[in-house]
Amino acid sequence: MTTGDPLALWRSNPFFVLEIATDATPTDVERAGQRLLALLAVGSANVQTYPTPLGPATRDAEQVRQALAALRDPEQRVLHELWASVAPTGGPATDHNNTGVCAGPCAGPWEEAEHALGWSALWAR
Amino acid sequence: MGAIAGVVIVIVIVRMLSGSIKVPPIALAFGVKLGIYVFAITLVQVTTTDAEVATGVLHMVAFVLIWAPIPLLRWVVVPLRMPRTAYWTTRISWPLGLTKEIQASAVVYGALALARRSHPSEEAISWLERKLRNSEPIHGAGVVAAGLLAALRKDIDRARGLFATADRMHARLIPRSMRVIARDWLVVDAARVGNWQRVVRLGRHGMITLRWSYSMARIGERLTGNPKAWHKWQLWPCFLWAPRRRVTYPPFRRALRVPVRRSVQPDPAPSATDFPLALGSLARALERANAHDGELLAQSIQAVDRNLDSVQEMIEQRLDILGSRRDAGAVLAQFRQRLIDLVTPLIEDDPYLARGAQPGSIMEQAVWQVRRRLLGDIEARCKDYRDRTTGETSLDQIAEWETWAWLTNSANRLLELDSASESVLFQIVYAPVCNFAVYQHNGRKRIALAHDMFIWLLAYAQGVPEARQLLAKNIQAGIAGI
Amino acid sequence: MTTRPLYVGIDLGTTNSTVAVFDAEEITLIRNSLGSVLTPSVVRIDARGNVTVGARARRFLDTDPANTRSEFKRLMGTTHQLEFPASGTLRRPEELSAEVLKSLRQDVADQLGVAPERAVVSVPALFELHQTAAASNAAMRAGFERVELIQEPVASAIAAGWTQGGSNGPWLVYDLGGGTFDVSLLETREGLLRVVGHDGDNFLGGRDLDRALMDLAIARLAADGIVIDRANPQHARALRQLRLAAEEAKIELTRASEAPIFIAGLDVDGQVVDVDLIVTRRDYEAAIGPLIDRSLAICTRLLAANGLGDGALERVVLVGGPTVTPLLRERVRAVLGADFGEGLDPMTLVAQGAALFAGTVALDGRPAAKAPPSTGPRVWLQFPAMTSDLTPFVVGKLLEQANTIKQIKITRSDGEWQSDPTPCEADGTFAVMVRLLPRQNTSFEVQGLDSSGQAVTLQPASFSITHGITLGDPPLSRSVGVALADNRVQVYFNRGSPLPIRRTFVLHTVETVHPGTEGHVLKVPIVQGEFAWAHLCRLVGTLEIPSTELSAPLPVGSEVELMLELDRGGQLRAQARIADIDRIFDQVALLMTPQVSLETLADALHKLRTRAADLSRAAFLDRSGKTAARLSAAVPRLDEAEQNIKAARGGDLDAGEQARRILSDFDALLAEIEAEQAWPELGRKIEESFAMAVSWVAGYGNDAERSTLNETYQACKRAFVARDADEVERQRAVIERLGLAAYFRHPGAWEWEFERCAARVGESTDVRRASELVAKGREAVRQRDREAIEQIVRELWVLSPVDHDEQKLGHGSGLRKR
Repeated sequence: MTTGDPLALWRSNPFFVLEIATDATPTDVERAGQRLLALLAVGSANVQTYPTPLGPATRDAEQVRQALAALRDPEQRVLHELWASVAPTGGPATDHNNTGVCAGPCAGPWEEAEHALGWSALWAR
Repeated sequence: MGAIAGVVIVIVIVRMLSGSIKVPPIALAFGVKLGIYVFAITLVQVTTTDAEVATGVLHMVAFVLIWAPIPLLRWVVVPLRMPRTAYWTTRISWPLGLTKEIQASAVVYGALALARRSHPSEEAISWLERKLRNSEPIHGAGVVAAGLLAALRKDIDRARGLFATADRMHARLIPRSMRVIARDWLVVDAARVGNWQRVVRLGRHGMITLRWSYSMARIGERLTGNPKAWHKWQLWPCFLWAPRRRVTYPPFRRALRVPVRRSVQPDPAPSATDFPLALGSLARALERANAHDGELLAQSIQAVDRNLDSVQEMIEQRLDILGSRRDAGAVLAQFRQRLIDLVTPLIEDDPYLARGAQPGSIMEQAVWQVRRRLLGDIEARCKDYRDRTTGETSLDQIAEWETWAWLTNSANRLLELDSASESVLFQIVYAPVCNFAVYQHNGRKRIALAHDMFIWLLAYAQGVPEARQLLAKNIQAGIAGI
Repeated sequence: MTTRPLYVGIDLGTTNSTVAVFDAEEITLIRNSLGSVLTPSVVRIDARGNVTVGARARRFLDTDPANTRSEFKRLMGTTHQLEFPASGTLRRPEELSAEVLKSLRQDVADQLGVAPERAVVSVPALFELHQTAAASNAAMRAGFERVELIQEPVASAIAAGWTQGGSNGPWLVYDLGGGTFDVSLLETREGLLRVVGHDGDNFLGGRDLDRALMDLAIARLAADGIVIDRANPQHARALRQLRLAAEEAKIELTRASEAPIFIAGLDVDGQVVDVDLIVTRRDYEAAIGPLIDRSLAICTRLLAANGLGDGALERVVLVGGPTVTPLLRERVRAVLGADFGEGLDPMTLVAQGAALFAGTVALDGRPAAKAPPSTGPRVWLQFPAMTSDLTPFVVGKLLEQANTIKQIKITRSDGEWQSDPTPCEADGTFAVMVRLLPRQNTSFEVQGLDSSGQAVTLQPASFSITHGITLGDPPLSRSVGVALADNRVQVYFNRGSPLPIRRTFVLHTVETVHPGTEGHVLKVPIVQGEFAWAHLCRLVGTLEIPSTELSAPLPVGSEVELMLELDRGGQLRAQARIADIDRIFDQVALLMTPQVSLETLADALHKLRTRAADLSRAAFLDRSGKTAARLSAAVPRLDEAEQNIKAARGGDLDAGEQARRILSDFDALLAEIEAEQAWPELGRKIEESFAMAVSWVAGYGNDAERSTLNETYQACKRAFVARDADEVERQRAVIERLGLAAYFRHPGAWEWEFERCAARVGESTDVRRASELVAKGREAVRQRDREAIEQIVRELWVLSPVDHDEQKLGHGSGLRKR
């Protein structure tokens, strides 16, 4: 089974989607959501991506509405506050560039692997 | 000489058609090729001029085409990216090692040629699929062909299953050249996402040792910091002995830079108050680059789990401020469940991540969840086998191989996850699979499929003497038909 | 001058319907042609086919009952057809609801001069998907171009929140209508209204209070020798007269301590009598007490489920005509411990809230106006029509001249506020925060500014926003999911999920589907309910993939990507994509509740009584007091169901539906108790299996088998502690197989097995063949041919009967999770 990005769900944390702090008031939450929904409705390209401590992600109106609904429920909100408190990852912990010197394991992906066998068409893009 | 060869060929054909002699396919191929070669040489000698170079070239072409078609296919025809040409060249040249499954093998080379294109056309893929559907018989080469076509269709999971099935097949069922293709694909599939642990397992613990995958496995050991990894002076000859040195050089060079640590020092766990940092280390462990480091993942999850109790008071305060009357325990339970849900798909994809999960840990609960799902999947497939045996209904050969590949894949992942499940697994699969294999063998004459099923079952029938006896008997009976 | 918006809200009630309009400032109740704000939900069709709705139709309820129908709301979503013999027509309940809605629409047109094209219609919170679909269809039939549905308690809450102003904390809406009871727990926080939870009973309403009073009257008449039987169709007219009189008495009893029930010339079995009874308030309260208690039990259940104890509520809002009953008000106040919201009309609150909701979603009922001649570059504005936020954002996009207009400025119409010039993005979009006036409608003008700061008139040049409440998306009242082949449910939408909502899961087929096989269908049953077992949930629709649509066999384990979507009103859409054949299927069938015959109901009732009795006995023997108490508290519902079945025999369709619902709920309760009781029983089975296996494996097994047996037993016990039923059964099956494998090594085992099969030859699927095998077997036994005996026993096993019940339970589902 091919796994998608394991961090995708984390990046869609409602606080990240709405780009608000975890101590935002209910009014702040609604205002942020209303603004985003309106901007997405008019097709603004600037709001389709958003930053997170785990890297950028994309959003649509459905995600914004789900984020609003999640933060209206107190238990769900506290749960999301916990997940949103993640410290920024600042990139992968180990260096697996081909040019750098590794102090430890460098078990990163071999991006050109497909080309090694001339089978570039065989993996999903 | 040519005339004599021609006469010999005619006599053999006549006696074969009359049924008075039975010739194994490979011997038949050899005989025919010899006859054609002699005939071709004679023809060249008769028709060419005095130019020795031209004669020599024609001799060489005839020799290669007749006696060494596989290198020709691999280095000349396939790189031309013309699937139909590759297909028909294979059919016509009739490589000796592929005589049992010449049609399916031709599809393999056609698919390899197509895979070289940046955008394989739908029409070409469909043409190859039709050729494969009409191929008889379907053994290892057919499975590899099905895998390549699935990969061309971007159905990577299906391709992976088929290639894994081909890679572990008995030597009688799959030519070495086909196994090489399957194994190489699996190695690339793992290496491209950084799953070097899987590369090591494929190269070191496969059915037979193949040069390139073995070399990649040794490189993988270095990259993952395996304490038993080879030193540079051992790695170099291994690398030089394997093919594709030019393209394999970048990971090889990366591996050389990694110092070999003879003992593993685990990273210290984050401190008790660092809940955000613990989450951050978990996020890092989950990132693609490190997603196959099971130890790091388990440690990160444990760190988060340990720090959860420290945030209970904060949760209670927040719930109070937000006007909820629920207790913090419910929120913590949901958080733990989400941790399990986060980890579950990773474990399902790569069961080795969960090796050494501590009892009662989040990882262990995730293992239990995955295990339950895999067993449910296996039971459903066994039930289908039972029903189809009773109803005597069968799918086409390729579909049957695919269905079988799915089941063995689920089973192998289950055992990778929890080797103690072997006895349960065997008890679930033995009767339905064995009976279905018998039906396929006797009723549908699909000897290779049945044989593979018996061999696979036998590997897990350790504690059941009657089953071992029956399976061994069935395997003996089937061998002659392959 | 801008025409004020026309937001229309309709309360489609069981007994009465109401329509209200909101113009962004105030709410107006629409009066019908008789000057009343309440229109009875009664429809009459005369011999000429003329349709009469409301009070005029109600007059014929007694004199022409066959052609006059009322209280059909509870039948919506069923396949019942109501006959109108005078005109020779059959109508479904939703068609009759459409007539009521058409009449209300006409009333709006008569009063305001415009027939609305869009409206919000209320439905009970616990309406199931097929019922809400029927309500939507009814509105479309009535001529509305677009309709949104809102749950009645939410509508009441909006109206109450609008009227009562902002006070934080939890409050309850107690909505007892003519036919349904809804209770909703709400919370207001900083102007945001959130529905925390729902509960209710679709078959508890004012009608039941009337029936209680009727039963009282019937009992009194019976004491005087006049026997009226609900199950007797001949007494239907008498019952109707009695009911009307009871209704009038009920209303009288809200202000008087006693009331007469007087009927002149009541005909019972040819005997004509005058009924003249006096019912005291005390008698009435004694009769309706249990019904009120039932409603309060639902309230306390809802509060407990949300962690609220006594006295936690800020206030209670009463909705619905029956809530004026003094006893009810007294009991509600006593049990819930909160004051009532004042100044709220329980009869029209729902309609008012529906109209306000139309305002929050900007569902203007006016026909779309022709675009005026262009007076400036067009701009597309997005803003909330109503919000609790005093500083919301107004977002827009310049549709023309985006390269010349650089900034946007918004000015409040009163001149007291204006925004700073806000630069536009490169794509012409902008977002400006505006400031509203509290608790009123605020108008603004919007202007563009070019690069030199010159003002540019935009079109539209103005807009308005009402400061009021912000409503969270309406929540789903019952979980929705897909039934799987193992009778589990793959939940798609949990109860309380905001609507609209869409989810996709990948499921897998459980069997190979061969193409072209007539009648062979891959079924995807969609269910609604909170139970983990699919057969206890209500089937609301089935997406079917006929095998005739397949060109090649679909192997087991094939992926089916199944998407379910619910819109805001609860309309369901489903789509299945099968990757292997790259086809999409989206025909969902069976959205109606099929009619169940009275015989089936009676049979079900009998079986449930037997099951309940067995469970009570088992609970008594096990000394399980809690289970016994649960059963004894629930059994009276079966008596109620029996009464309903009798009434249904007398022609009361509604009573039949109520009986079906009671029996379904009782079945679920018994299943829950059985599952609880099954667990200790399973523990006993594990020990028995292990004891059997260990004795055989000890004697005839090898070391590997003994080791495996121990490991499996430990794993089985562990799964038992974890209450993982699947894993327990799996491990237990392995234990049994190990035992059997060892057992069959005994020299006499096959012979014993042969004798066992021979004794059951009559149960074989092919008795003749089985008998032949038994004869051969006897010969083999005589010759002590063990191999032959084994072969014969295996063949006899093949002929033994097979149980296919499991898959039937999961509504015939062909899917499983991965």
